[in-house]
Amino acid sequence: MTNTPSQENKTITKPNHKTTTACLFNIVFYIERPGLISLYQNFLNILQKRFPCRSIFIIEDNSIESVKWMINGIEGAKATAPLDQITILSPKINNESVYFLILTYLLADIPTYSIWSQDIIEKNPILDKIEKITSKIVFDPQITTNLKDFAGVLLSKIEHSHTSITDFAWFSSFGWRELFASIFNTSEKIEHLFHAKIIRIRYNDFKADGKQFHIPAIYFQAWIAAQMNWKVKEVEYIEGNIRISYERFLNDTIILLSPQISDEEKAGQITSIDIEGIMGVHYLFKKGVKDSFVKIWISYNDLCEIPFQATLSEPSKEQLVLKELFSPGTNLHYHNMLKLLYQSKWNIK
Amino acid sequence: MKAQTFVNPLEDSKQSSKVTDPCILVIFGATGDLTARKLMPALYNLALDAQLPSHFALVGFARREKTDDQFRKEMYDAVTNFSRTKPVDEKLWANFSNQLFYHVSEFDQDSGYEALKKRLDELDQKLGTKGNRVYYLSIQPSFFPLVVDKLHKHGLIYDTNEVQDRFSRVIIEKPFGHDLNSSIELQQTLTKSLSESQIYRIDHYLGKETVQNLLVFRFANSIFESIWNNRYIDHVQITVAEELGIGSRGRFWEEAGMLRDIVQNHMMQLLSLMAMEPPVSLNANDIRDEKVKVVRAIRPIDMANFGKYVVRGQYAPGFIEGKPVIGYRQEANVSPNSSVETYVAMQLFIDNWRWAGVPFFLRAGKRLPKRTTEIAITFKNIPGVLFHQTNNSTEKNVLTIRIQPNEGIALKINSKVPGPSSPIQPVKMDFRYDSYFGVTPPEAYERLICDCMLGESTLFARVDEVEASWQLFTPILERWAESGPSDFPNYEAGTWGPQAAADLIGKEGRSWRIL
Repeated sequence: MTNTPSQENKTITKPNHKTTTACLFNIVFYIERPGLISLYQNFLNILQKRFPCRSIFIIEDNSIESVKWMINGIEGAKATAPLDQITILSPKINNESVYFLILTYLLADIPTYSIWSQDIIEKNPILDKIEKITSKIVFDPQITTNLKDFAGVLLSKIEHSHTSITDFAWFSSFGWRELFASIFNTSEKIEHLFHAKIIRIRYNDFKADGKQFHIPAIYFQAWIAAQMNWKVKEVEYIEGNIRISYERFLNDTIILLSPQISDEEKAGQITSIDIEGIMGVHYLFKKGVKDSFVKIWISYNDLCEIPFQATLSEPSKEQLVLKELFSPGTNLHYHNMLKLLYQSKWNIK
Repeated sequence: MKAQTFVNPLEDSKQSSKVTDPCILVIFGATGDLTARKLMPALYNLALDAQLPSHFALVGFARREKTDDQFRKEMYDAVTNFSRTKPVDEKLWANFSNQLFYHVSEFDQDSGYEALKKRLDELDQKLGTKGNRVYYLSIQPSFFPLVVDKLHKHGLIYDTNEVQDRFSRVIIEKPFGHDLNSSIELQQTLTKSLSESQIYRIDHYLGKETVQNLLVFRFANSIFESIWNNRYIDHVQITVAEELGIGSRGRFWEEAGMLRDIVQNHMMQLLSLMAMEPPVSLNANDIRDEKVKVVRAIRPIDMANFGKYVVRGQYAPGFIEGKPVIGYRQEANVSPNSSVETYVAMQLFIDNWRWAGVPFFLRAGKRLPKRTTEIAITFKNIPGVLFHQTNNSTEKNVLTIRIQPNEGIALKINSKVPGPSSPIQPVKMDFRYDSYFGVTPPEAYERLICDCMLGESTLFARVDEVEASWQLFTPILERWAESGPSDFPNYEAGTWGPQAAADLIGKEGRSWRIL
C-alpha cells in the first residue's frame, strides 16, 4: 500500500525495461459487490492478453473509512510490455478523492473505457465525473433491481450527457440476433415476423451466484419488438413465465418467456424460439444441447421447407466487449431496445 | 418507378459479424500443403472469432480417396500444428468439423463434377447455404482453365447476368501467368466462364495487417500527406529479404525466379499502396483504380542503360546464422548451370506530379542475412545551416514500415544527447504491433477468405493491375532470356547481394539500408 501516487507512477515504467510501456487504452472498473471482483479480474486478464492496457479497479469497501490504493505491475504474455493495474478501495461515502486519483493514473492520448458494475439507479458522483472522460461505458444490468429505471437512467445518459453506452446483457443475445437477421432476411420474412401472433422463447434459468438469468431473454425479445416497432401493452408474470403483450398495427403479439432448468447449457442461454404467425406461418428454432447448432423448421399453410441447420455464433464475452468498445457511439439497436424496456415495469427479482 | 431496396431492420450493420452471406467453400487441391498450413488454420480461426457465416460448409475436392471423417482428422492435425492460436478449442472443433466434407474426383472427370453439384445442393438443403459458392483453386496454375471450364459446364458457376439471388466466386493463387502474353491468355480463358467480378486473385501480402495498415497510416493521419511527395522525400527502398533458400521447390524455382515470384506481384502491391493517390472512396474499385495508376506511371526500364537500373543475382554457397549452406546451383532439381535469379535489385521512377524525380529502389533476394520485409522512406536532408555550424552531422529522417517480422512503424529522428555539449544522435520512435496489440495478428488468409465470402475485392488483384505489372517486367525477362548472366553465382549466401546492386544505388550517393 502506498500513499504517494506520483512516486508510484514512476515505478510503473520500470527503468530496467528498455522498451516503452505499451498501452492501447485505459480501462476503469467500478465494482460494487466484492463477490464479483474475481469475475472482472478474470475478464481483465483475458483482455490484457490481447491488448495491453492500464486498468484501474475501484472496489467499494465499506469496512474502511478513507480511500486506499495500490499498484500491481503485471507482466503480459510478452515481456516487452509490462501491464499495470491500479486498485482503489473506497467506502461508498467519503469517496470524493477517487475521481482525482483516477485522473492521476490515466495515461494521456489514449481512449478511456469503463466497466461499471453498480446499480446506477442510485446516484454515484464518481460515475457522473467519469462519464465526461470516458469514450464508452459498459454497465451490468445483473446488478440492478429495477430494469425499467435502469433503462431510464441509461437513456438519460445517452440523450442528455451524450455518453456512449452498452451493457453485458446485450452481448449475451449476440448470436441469436445474428441468426435472426440471417433467417429473416427478406421483406416477406420480416412481414411474417411482424405479424407474429405468439412468440415463445425458452431459456435456461439455471441459477448460480444469485444472478438473474432472464435478463438476456428479456433483452432479446425487447430487441425484436423494438426493431418491429411494437409498443408494450402489458407485462404479466404467470407461474414463473413472463407474458408480454405488444401492440402492433391492428393486432397484438404475445411474447412468452419460459424458464427451463438445465445444467448442460449456459445460464441464461436461449434454447428454443417458436413463432406462430398468421395464415399458418410457423418458425421453430431449437438449439442443440451443448453444441452451437440450431435446427430450424419453417412451414406455411400449404408448404413445409426442409429443416436445416445453422451455427449459433458464440464469440467470447471479451471479444464482444472489445468489438463494442472500439465501435464509436451507442449501438442504435441497443438504444431502441432500451427505449422499449423503459415502456414497462419488469419484475426481475 | 424505382425498385425499393430491402433494408433488414434486424441487421445491425455496425455490430454484425462481417460475413452475413451463407456459402459453401470448395477447396480444389484440399490434400495439398497450402490447405494444411494456411487455409484450414485460417478457417478455424475465423470460426473461433465468429467470423464465419451462420450457414457455412467446406468441401475439400481432391484426387486421393478419403472419407469425410478421415479428412476431418487430417484437418484437425493441420490446425493443431499450424494454427496461430493454440491449443485447439475442442468444443469449437467438435462443432466446426461437422461442417467439413470431402469429395473425391479427378479434375477432368465430368462425373466428379456432377456428383459435386449434387452434394452441394444437398448441403444447401441441410445447412441453408442458399446456393452460394466460393471455389478456391489451390492447384497448379496449369489446371485453372480446366477446372473453371468444368465448373462452368456443370452449372457450378453462375452467369452473373442471369443469376442474381446467389453468387459463385473463384479464388486463384499467383502466378497469374508468367509474362504479359500468358497473363492475357489466362484472363481470356477464365473470362469465357467467369466475369471479372467473380475472379479473386490472391496476393497474400494484401492480407497482412501491416500492409492493410498502409492505407490507414497514410489516409487516417493528416500529418503525413503534406510530406508524402518529391519535395520532402529523397528516395524509397522496398526490401523483401529471406534467409531461406529455395528448399524443395527447385522445379518451381527453375521456371519462376525472383522477378516472377516476388517482384512482379508482392513488391508491386507494396509500391502501389505506398505511392498511390488518396482514393475517392474505400470502395474496392476506387482503391484499385489508384493502384493501377501508379503502376502505369512507372517509367519503362531504359533498355539502352539496362545494367544501370536492373541487377540480378544468384546465391553461391555461404553461411546463414553461422551455418554453412549450399549455393543455388547445388540445390535439388536445379541445373548446375542455371541462370535463374534468386536476387533482383532495380531502380524505378514514377513519372507523376507527386513522385517525379524520386528514385524507388527495390531489392528482393533469397539467402540474404535475415528475413525482413519493409518499406523505408528516406526524407531529404535539412538545409546545411545551424547544426552543421557546430560540427554536428545529422542523419536523414527515415520512416520505416516493417511488414514482417517485428511488424510496426518506426521514425528515425535526430535528438540531442543529454549533456553540456551538443552532440546529435539519431533515435527511433517505434510503434510495434506486438507491444500494442498483444497476441499475434490474424493471418493474411483469414482476412482474404473472409473478404471473398463477403464479396469484398479490395484486397485482391484486379486484371489491369496484373497486366500493367507484366507490361513493366516482361521486357526485363525477355532481355534476361536473350543472354545468360556471365557472373552467376554472384553473391555469397548470407550477404546482402551482389556488388552490382550496391553500385546501382551507390551511383547517386545513396546506399542500401543495413537491416
